Amino acid sequence: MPSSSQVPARSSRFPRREAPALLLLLALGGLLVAGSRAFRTPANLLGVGLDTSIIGVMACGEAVVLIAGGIDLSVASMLVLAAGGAALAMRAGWPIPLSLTVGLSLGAVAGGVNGWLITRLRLPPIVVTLATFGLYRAAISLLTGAREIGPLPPAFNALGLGVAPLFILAAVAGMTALTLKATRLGRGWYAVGGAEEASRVSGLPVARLKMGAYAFSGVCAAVAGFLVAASSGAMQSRAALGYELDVIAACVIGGVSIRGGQGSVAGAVAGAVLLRLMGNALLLFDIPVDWYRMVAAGVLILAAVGDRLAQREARAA
Amino acid sequence: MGVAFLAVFLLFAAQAPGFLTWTNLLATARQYAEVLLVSVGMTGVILIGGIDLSVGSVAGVAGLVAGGAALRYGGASAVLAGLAVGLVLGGVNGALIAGLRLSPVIVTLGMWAGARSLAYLLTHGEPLSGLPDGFTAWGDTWIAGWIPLTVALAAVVAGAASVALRRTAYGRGLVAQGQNEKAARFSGIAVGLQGASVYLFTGLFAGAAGLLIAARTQAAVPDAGMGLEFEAITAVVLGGARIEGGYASVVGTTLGVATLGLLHNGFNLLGYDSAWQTLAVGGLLLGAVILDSRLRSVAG
Repeated sequence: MPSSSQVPARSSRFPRREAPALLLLLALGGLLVAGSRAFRTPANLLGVGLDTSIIGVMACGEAVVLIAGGIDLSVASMLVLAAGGAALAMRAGWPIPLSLTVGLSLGAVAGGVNGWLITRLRLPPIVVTLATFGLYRAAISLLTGAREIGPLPPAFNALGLGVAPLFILAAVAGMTALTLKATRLGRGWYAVGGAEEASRVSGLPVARLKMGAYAFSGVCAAVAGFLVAASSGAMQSRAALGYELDVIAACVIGGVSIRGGQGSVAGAVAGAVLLRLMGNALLLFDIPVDWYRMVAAGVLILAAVGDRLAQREARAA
Repeated sequence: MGVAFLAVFLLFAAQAPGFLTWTNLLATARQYAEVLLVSVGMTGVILIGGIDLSVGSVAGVAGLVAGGAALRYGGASAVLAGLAVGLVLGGVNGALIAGLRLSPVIVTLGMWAGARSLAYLLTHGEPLSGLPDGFTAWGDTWIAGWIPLTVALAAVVAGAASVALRRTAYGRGLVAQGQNEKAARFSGIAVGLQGASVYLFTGLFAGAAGLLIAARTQAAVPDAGMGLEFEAITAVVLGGARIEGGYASVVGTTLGVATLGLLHNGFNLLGYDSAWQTLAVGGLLLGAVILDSRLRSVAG
């Protein structure tokens, strides 16, 4: 999907790609703060914070994959696989740090397998991650016998309490942003996603960079999975169903290009906050929660249309 | 492809009790008529280098709307309503993908979620049961006493699609678009219109599949058709299609659907649950694309 004749991003300081999400975010945030007393309660804000953190952490990984010119439909399945593995380890009495390492490794391996199939066997990312979307969830369902794994130790559950999820989101987002902007790895991801063939010719390790992006997405999914498990005190294989939509939508609204090479973590996180605020607004105004997916889907498509129009304009200029 | 089909068939014929009986095979065929319909549409989509993740959700909405229409206005209106829903949603996909030239993954991912959400909103998540006999009867009609009507219907659609792809200018245009869209456009093919028509047809077939599911299960459920996209894409790839576009055959797809049907049925008879089946289907999908890419890299 990445085209080699990409129009280079304009080097202005104004965050063009992120602007729509940020503006919408300010508007909706302002509206909610001013218009809803229920929104301002600490319990509600922390709930939104938790949901945002789960989607936002995954969106960091997805943003890297998209920037590197791929797509990952398997994030929610990697989430349940990794967190399910960690939960099984904790239930088996393993120390928490070791269990978390198990989860992170599972995420990295699951993402790495995606990356390996996509780069070494040159398979299309949509097909590979669609297959593993089914495979990873089925695998954890078989490992657990589709039973709920819990209760989990209180020390672990603390990860999902209060403002802890927001700190975790900030840490993951900060690290990802720093890697993207300030390291050779990050610049490699932008280069590969912007012009894969040119990157190959100029000697970048294209396959390793892309594989790294998918593995990173798996690790992010694992961290998000810890938040899901910790906040509910248990893990089950049917958790996080459909989250891949929220994650991809968050990235696209936040200005991460689906054609690769462009976008930022700040945008993806802003997209995640925006989506979850919309979800919260539906809840607060007593609109059936089933509307949420419709709204998210509509926003995803509108964002894609906007991206398309911006691209046309850039070509014309 | 034929090899995979035979292998699955022989394996279960030897292992699973009650597999090799007409009753069982026909019952399986009846359940997979709907998968075949959707897969025929998906064959066209993959042929032009696209993808449609929304077929299962479209089938779900179509089934519910048809169910609602059946309860109020009777069977015939239900069929029209279900097909119309498929056409409209498929048309939206087509307009966004071919008209605005958006990524098919993004558009149909949006439709996947949007249409499923619509299905829940329509009945507040409740199933519609007690559908009138006029609507459900044809889901249980057998031609000459032994061929299910729905299977015959799906077979006719598949046959017509196969002829259309191989013998008509339209079909050759789709192949040209899948092989090299730019070249196809320069040689005067209306690739935009043609691409939109493929998503429109796929929506129509998904709508028909939704009707079949509702008629066969005698109920319209918001969850109906979940995972259909997974089965259909697997069937098309198993059938030897190139996932990047340019080559796909309805005959291959039909064999792919049959393989999946036998696989699920055999696993059911042997008592493996749905997670094992997902594992097997996902494995087949990956295996088929890997094999295809290996074979091609050997060939050229």
